Amino acid sequence: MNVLVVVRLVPDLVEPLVVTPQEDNLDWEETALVLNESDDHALEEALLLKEKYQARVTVVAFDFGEIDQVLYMAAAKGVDRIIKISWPHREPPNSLEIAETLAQLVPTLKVELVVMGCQSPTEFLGMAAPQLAAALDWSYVGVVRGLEASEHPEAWKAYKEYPGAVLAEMEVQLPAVVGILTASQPPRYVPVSRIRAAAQQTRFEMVEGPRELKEPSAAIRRVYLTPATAHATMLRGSEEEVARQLVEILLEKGILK
Amino acid sequence: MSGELASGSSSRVAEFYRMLFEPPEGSTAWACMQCGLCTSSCPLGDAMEYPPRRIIAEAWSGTLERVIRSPSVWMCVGCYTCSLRCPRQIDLTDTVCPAVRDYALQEGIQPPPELRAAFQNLYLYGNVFGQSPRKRLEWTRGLEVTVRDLSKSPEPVEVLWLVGCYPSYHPRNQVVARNMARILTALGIRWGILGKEERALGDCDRLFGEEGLFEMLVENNRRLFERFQFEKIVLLDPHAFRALEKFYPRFGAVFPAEHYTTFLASRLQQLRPWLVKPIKARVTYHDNCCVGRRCRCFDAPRALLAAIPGLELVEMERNREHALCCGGGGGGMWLDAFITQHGGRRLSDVRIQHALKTGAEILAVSCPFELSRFENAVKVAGAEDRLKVRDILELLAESMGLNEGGGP
Amino acid sequence: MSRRIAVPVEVYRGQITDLTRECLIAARLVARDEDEVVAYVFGEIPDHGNSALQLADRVVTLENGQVSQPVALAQAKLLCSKLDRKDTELVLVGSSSWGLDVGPLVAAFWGVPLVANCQGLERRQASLWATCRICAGKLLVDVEVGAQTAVVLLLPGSFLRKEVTPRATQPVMEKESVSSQEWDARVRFQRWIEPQREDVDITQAEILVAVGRGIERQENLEVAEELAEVLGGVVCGSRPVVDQGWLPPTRQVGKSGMIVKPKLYLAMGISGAPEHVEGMKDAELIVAINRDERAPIFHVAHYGIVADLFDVIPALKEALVARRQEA
Repeated sequence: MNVLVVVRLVPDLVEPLVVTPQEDNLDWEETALVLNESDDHALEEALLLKEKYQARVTVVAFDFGEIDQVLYMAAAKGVDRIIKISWPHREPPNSLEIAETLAQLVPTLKVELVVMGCQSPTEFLGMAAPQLAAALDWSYVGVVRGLEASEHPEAWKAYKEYPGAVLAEMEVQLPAVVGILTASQPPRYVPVSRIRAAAQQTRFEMVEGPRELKEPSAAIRRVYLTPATAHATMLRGSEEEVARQLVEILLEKGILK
Repeated sequence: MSGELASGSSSRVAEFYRMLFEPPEGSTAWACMQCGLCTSSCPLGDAMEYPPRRIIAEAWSGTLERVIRSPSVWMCVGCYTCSLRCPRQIDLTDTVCPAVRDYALQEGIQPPPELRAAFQNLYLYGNVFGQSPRKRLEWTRGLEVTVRDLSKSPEPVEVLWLVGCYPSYHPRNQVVARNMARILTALGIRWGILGKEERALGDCDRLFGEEGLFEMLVENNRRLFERFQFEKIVLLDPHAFRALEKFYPRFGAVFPAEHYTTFLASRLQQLRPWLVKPIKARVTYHDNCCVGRRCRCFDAPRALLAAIPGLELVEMERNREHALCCGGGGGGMWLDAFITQHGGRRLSDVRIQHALKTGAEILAVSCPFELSRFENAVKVAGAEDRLKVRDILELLAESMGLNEGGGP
Repeated sequence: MSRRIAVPVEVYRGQITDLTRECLIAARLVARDEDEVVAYVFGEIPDHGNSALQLADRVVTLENGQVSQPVALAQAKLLCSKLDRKDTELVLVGSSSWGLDVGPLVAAFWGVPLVANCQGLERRQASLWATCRICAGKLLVDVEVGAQTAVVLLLPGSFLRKEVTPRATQPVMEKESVSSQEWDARVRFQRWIEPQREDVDITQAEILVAVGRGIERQENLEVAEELAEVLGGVVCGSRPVVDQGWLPPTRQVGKSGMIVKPKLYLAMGISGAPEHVEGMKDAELIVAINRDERAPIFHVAHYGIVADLFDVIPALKEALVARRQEA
């Protein structure tokens, strides 16, 4: 089976976010980028499929920011093929652009399964994974934790997460796009020396991306940092004082008997 | 392409054996006489499936496969006791152990999750906490002395002070950082820091086996330091000091460096007049492994403590080169649960008993890990009313009338 | 010209979900007088939670055996074939595991805009305006939806407490049958897999001591356990702690874990990411301890302490034990 993994760079939320003075966008120059967490899990799931079922894994990404580091990491983890889509623009592609570009690319590749993260911090006008599935007219299941072979050929079991730690076992007919939330196991660690070695040896295949940006499907009127609204009453002082205050509060509220 | 990288390639194996049998420092592992002095000296030796002696034996017979799969690979806390005592001077702690770990990582062995997170954080953010580099200066908030941020306004200084990750980010250690700033200023030393550009020196990861990550940090730091003019680098972290002194030169990054205890002890003449307030307490000093046992530097910290009026210095039974490690090095800071689950024990809990036996009221330390480790150990021992843990800098600052009230 | 606001109804564990109710509330608030709010039920109307349907003007039940299977692909396709896109102004779906599949698929099949992570929706003159909360809750975006038809994914809690004037009459009830050709069987629901129930059901606990990444290491859990014991409570955790394997999934609080409403929720070393907050925001008393005074948890907590939890917990334990001895 041939699996395509889509990886994206997203704003690193460890850093404070910076918005342009016009409040029309994130200041992408000031924004540190990091691999989208659920895409990292999608990659791990694909590698597990490679280990368990000898799947061939191709990774695809848009050429933005320091995506090369992510791709070298993927190479070090053992993927079979890496494709980079040119993207000479000031901000990363939005969900619509991702879905449409990949919808053009996927039919040219021999893949039956596309896995990618089902969520990303900057998705709000669209969601790439289901949109890609619809554009390809492929099956889709999202919010998935883990894939396994099913008894039927050409079908796979996807475990969809529900509240209360419940899973729904779904049977998905290939070709399919699966939106991964978490992988069956945490993303594996690969030592930096292997990533650096991969950087020496790996060649990416380059593919043309769209020349023009797509207008978002709704008009973005304002982008701004979430204002601090309600706030907790802060207890201050030494640990002993604070502990005492808290015990008083618990007694007052009848929580301590 | 990647297929070969996915499984251990023969060049990695060759590299591992080269490290063992043609090490950059110390004797070749062929010289080992299997005396077992290392194992019996190791504070966690009885819990290791493959203590140092056995690792070398397995390396000789080429059966490292099972060694790297054993949890004991992750149990070395970098205390240097085995290296100190090896009659053949094999560089066990700095060469053999990291080489085994590096090999394990290359073979795809997954390190314990807490270590993975620490490596990831070091890689992405240049500190083990995963905190933003932009927050490196938070410890200076409200500080009443001037902090020269060389990254913003470069100027020649006498001392480039590499603050370190723990003193920059950890609230308990930030107190120590502020006291260091006050002391340096009081002594009239022209000092500066690298502000938000400072990143970890990288000793932890090297000991953990992440050679590649260490190399990356060395390269970045070398380029960074070369931009500035300074006479010497002073560090609070003994591990970082070791890295800078012993390993950075191997990569062509040569910078004069001192641990703060050595630096201040060499300035004792200028320092002494400032030590006005007596600290009437019984104090015992815990020798840290890197500056102490490894560098044989035991007198400088004691000279500093002895200079404080009213202070009565008492020694623990195991002191100087025989001090018992706190268990924080070599990844130990993150692996207490892992180590105790595999039959080891938290060394700081054992060491605190040594301190309590002396009847001391203060346990003085000079390594950032030790503050939190020993303070936790004091709590576990239920001895908060009997023993306080203080960094030497806090005691000096208190005697100079400069501190903000010491620790909690 | 009257237009339809469609709300696909999610039934989970035999009940119409609270999130569906929120979508219906939002639909009513945004509907003009001439608009019609229509709820679409896949299969039979369940016995529980159906009072929410009173908010709709019309309820359409789609009938056929497999229609009630929770297969978003098929249900989304079905909606697209049963609804007239030209007549539909809005499709409002909740951001649940099911909704996150259904909503975007409907939008994609129809080629209409999708507005996700929506926490606020209102009509201003001719357009619909949405406020989206992204980047782990740190960023807000105001969006003007100009298109004729759009799909909106609502975040839970956004419309829960909004007031809606009750309808004067009962909703019109309709049934529509679905043929097997209209059902996309490429994805099939096989079965539910329940987690292995262990000793404690945290949704029943009155006092919860919750730990997050701030607990740092697995061994530090015992500190939380001891505190929980003194308080008479139970330990639970945020997702990262469970993902590490330090706590079983049944102890996870949050979007894909448990939703809890205890008397006391003590959040320790938890930053307050929206996925976690979703699971505990209705606790009666929320106390948060975090080293970072800017942690979002302090916006949801009633009381906050900026400190190292390893310092506060022992002090708290002592104070509690002392109190108990006094009493």
